Order: sequence, then structure tokens, then C-alpha cells
Amino acid sequence: MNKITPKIDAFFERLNQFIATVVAVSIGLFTVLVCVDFALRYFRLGGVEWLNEGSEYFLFFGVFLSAAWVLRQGAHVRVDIVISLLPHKVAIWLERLMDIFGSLLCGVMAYLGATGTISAFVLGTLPDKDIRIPNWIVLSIFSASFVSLMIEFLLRYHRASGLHQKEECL
Amino acid sequence: MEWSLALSLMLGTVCFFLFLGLPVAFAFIAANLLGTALFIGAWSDLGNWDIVRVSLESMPMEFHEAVSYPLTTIALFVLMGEILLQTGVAFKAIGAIEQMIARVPGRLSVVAILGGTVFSSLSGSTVANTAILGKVLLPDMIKRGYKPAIAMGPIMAVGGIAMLIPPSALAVLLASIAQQSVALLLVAGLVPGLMMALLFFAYVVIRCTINPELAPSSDPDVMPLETPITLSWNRNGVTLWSRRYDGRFKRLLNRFLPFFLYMMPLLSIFVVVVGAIFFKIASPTEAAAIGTLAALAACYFFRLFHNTFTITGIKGANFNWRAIRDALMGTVKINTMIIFIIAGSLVFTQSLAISGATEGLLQTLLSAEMSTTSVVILMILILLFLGAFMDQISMLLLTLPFFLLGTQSLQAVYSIDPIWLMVLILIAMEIGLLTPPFGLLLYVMKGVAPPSITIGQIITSALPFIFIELVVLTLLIFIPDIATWLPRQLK
Repeated sequence: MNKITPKIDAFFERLNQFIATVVAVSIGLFTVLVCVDFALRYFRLGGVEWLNEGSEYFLFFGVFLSAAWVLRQGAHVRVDIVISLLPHKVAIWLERLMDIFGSLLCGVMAYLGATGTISAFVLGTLPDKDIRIPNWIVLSIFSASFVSLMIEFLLRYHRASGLHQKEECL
Repeated sequence: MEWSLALSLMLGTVCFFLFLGLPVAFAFIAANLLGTALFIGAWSDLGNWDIVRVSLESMPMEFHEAVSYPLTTIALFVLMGEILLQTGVAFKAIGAIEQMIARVPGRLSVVAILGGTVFSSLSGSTVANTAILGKVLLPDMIKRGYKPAIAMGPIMAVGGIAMLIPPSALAVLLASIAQQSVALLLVAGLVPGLMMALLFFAYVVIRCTINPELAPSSDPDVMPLETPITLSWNRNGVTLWSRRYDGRFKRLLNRFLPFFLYMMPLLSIFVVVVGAIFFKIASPTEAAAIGTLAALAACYFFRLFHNTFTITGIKGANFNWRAIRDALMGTVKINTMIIFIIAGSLVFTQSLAISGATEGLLQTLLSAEMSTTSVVILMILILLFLGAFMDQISMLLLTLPFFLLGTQSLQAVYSIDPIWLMVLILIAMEIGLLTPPFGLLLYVMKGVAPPSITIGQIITSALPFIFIELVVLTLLIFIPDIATWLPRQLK
């Protein structure tokens, strides 16, 4: 297990890095599209009609798919005033406890997303929009996001354990 | 379930996990699961698991519906700031300001105010601003004999201005969540922001004039001012054309040229963004996208001064694909963090409303027969208290369901002007972050300041600036026109 986990960790890091890069490129493209749409409408040449609804999907997919990468970067904002006041060992244990809790929480969310995906697929539900991406696709992205977050929380726990063991050896 | 118990349970769950160190978004998700099961699924009243299950299974779709078009503005404003930060243009602007105001008493404190405003309005984070300027400027100030009383206060307080002056990411965030006009809020923050900047500036200059020992005048940049100015045009490392100026205006040019070259493009971006919104040429999302392109153009302009045109004292910007990539990746990081929290918190708001907590709290306040001013002051006091241990986003998302969101909010019931209220909220949040004994910025400064600086010294240095911010806040409470006059012109 100890030999496999670093490989999974490395693969997962590369995967999330790739996803984040795709999301970053899409933000760049979106910026250009908003400017193009503005220019077309300003000069009365039409416009990119699907942009508003398209950007909602783009934002949803981008945010949820890159959430695990953001967690790995430690960029999900948190309040650490209590942890910083605790003794070092207690703080580490609390961090690990929160990693376990976080993975459970994300597991529950992934399960809810998966059951919603299956229901939406069976019923063939569609959103009340002009761009009608089936709800099951949206929900499957949601589920995938929380599965990634669950894995990342577990990997964080594993990394913290390794660090803790090294500190104890020293 | 009693509304007070429901309220304690929901807020308690969020605060419990927040203080245990769980990231904010996940603390809200935990409360969402509880709130959806107990209140939306009516587990507390009916105890029917099938209804609870259906409610929980519909929760993921609520996340999708929470992500709406106006939220895209945040990503674009963040990208604009990231481009200017990653290329180093924002830092160079700070250096140019320093050179420009060499003779002003308390020069570095004034630089902290002006440069900090530029920097933190671009970065959108006062905590990051305090940490970075604390590291960059504070050691230099102390080395030059600045007393802690005048050195640290401006660095910590400047976030108050950045929250108000466009392109404030937090103002965009607040207006987006509150489903109010981003354009009106950005414009409303201008006058109070400039007022606060002027008061900070006046305080530093007057205090350093009365007591010059606080900020000893030193002229370390006298030598660079005496340097002859060389203008060259280069291609492939070969100088094609060059002129040298050693005339009597060289001091003046050495002082003003960096300021002009570094600040004018930044000011142009500011004018493009605010002007497009103010004159209704573009929506805030479009203005942010145009501002991003303008930022790219400004960085390309600075790149010309890196190699192609070289002028003594102008270093240009390191604008390349790597900087664009870093800016885009930085945007993904910040945007995902913010939108993830917002998506989670909107379900939280629904749970609070269905549990009866929002209505119960409102009825209690109504039965107390408070005046509108008292209600506004109460909201501000709550924010000041929360600011002692929370960041701005967490504060906003915890309080907005009661303050601003929906027909049951205090703003709707007491018919408070939402734009005015949002300006007050922005300032109150900033003061909260500075308020002793626990204000977050005080401890961020303690973390980056030299070890010899005590928390007592940090608090003492923040107090005059807290007082100034309170003066501006009080003025705004009693003269709302300061904030609402400009948006009225826009209407």
C-alpha cells in the first residue's frame, strides 16, 4: 500500500494539474469571447447569443472540476486561528481528523450526485434554458468533482501522516 | 423546532467546523447536509426518511442553479489583477510612487497607502496585501528609522480603501451574492474610498510634520536622480539609436518619468473599467473583460521597455507566456475558491429560511421596535465582532441571509438602500479585521513583522487608522449621499 500510494498521488496530481490547465485556458477563451460579443453588439453586427448560458455551464464545470486541484494547492480559504493556538502535535492530529471528515463529507456529496445522475438519466430531465445540456451530464460532473475531492482529502491525510512520522523520527 | 435552536444549530455547525480548520466551503457543505435533512426535508417535523432522501438528492442540482452569469465577473476581475501582479507591473508602480513623492513627510507610509491601494484592489485580498507589503516595505521602513507607530498602521489599514475603489473583487462578490447591481456598488465606493485615502494621507503627513522623529527624512534616491537619462532603441541586443540627456531637468525627469510610465497605463485601465460601467457602455462583466485586455495591452507596453526601448530608471515588465499562464492558473485558484463557497452558501441560505431562523430573528428585532439607524448600527457591530476571527468571505456568507438576501432580510423589511448598506458592510468588514484584540490583520502583521515588534505596538499603530475608518463609517451612516449620490447620477 505504501508503495502504491505515492504513485496514485503523483498520477492524481498530474491529472488535476491537467484539468486546472484546461480550466485556465477556458477562462482565457471566455475573456476573449466576452470582448468579441461586446464588440459585435456595439457595432450592431449581432453577438454571441449562447454566451450567457454557455458561461454558466463553463463556470460550473470549471469550478467543480478544478476544486480538487485548488484543495491540493491549499487555496481553499480556512480559518486557522484555533489550530495556530494549539500545541503542534494536537494541531497535526486535528488536521488529520478534518481530512478524514472532509473525505467522508465529499463521499456523501458524491453519492448524492451519483443517485441524482442516475435519476436524471432515467427520466431524461432537461434544464429550462436555451442550451439544453441534459441534467445527468451536469450532475455527473458534480459527482466526479466530489469523488476527486474525496481522494484528495485522503491523500492529504496520507501526506500529513508521512510528515508526522518523519517529525517523530527526528 | 424553535427558530433560535435552528439558528444555533446551523450557525453553530458552520462555526464549529470553521474553527476546527475545515476549509470554509466544506464547513458550509456540512451545514447544508444538516439543514437540508432537518429543514428542507423536514426531518425535524415529519421524521420521514423518504422525503429527506429526495431533498438530499435534489441538493446537487441546487449547486448548479447557484452558479449564475453575474458570477463570471469575479473571474474576469481576478484575471485582470493577476496579470498586473504576475508581470510585476503592480510592484513597479509602488516603486514609481516612492520616487515621485520623495519630499513628502512620512514618504514610505504614504507609499504604503497609495501602493497598497493599487496592490490590494488588484489582489482582492487585504490579508495577502498586509502579508506582502509587511514583508516588502516594513523592513525597509524600520531600517530607515521609521517608528512602528507610523510604519505598520498604513499597511494594515489600506485594505479599507481597496475594498471600496474599483476593481474591488470583494465589492463584485458582495453585489453578486446580494443580487444587486455590481455597477452601482463599484461606483458608490468611489467617493468614500477617495475620502478615506485622503484622510489617511493627511493623517500621515500631519503627524510626521509635527513629529519628524516618527519618520526620519532620508534621501537614498538622490544619486539615481542625478543620473543622466539615456534613451535607446535596441533590436536583437544591438543598439540602433541612442540619446543621452544630462541637462538641468534630469532630476525632474528621473522623478516623474517612472511615475508617468508606470502609473498612466494602470490609471487608463481604471478609467476604462469605471468609465465603461459609469457611462453604461458595458456591463460589469464586459467592463472586466475589456479591463483584462487593457491590462494585457499595458503589460505589452511595459515589455517594450524591457528590451526594445531602454530608458534609465525604467525596467519594463517581464511579460511573457509564462506570466500569462501563471495569471490564468492564479485566477483558477482564486475563482474556484470563491465560487465554490458561494455555491455552498446559497443552499445554506435556503435552509436558514425554511427552518424559520431568518423569520424568527427578524420578528425578534421588529418586536424591539428599533429604528432603521439602530438596525444598521447593529449589523455593523455584528460584522465588527465577526471580523475579529473570520475572513471577509466567511463573514459575508454567514450574515447576508439576514442582512441583504430576500424579502425577509433586514434590508428589505426596513427598506434600507441596498447600495448604501453594501458600502457600509464593506467598510465595517475591513474595520473588523483591524479591531483589537483579535483582528485578523493584526496577527498577519505580527507574523511578518520583525520579532522585536510586539502585538501591543501593532495594535497602537492600527488605532488611529481604525478611528479614521470609523469617522468615515459614521459620516456615511448619517450622510448616505456620500455613497449614494454618484450611483444616482448613473441611474
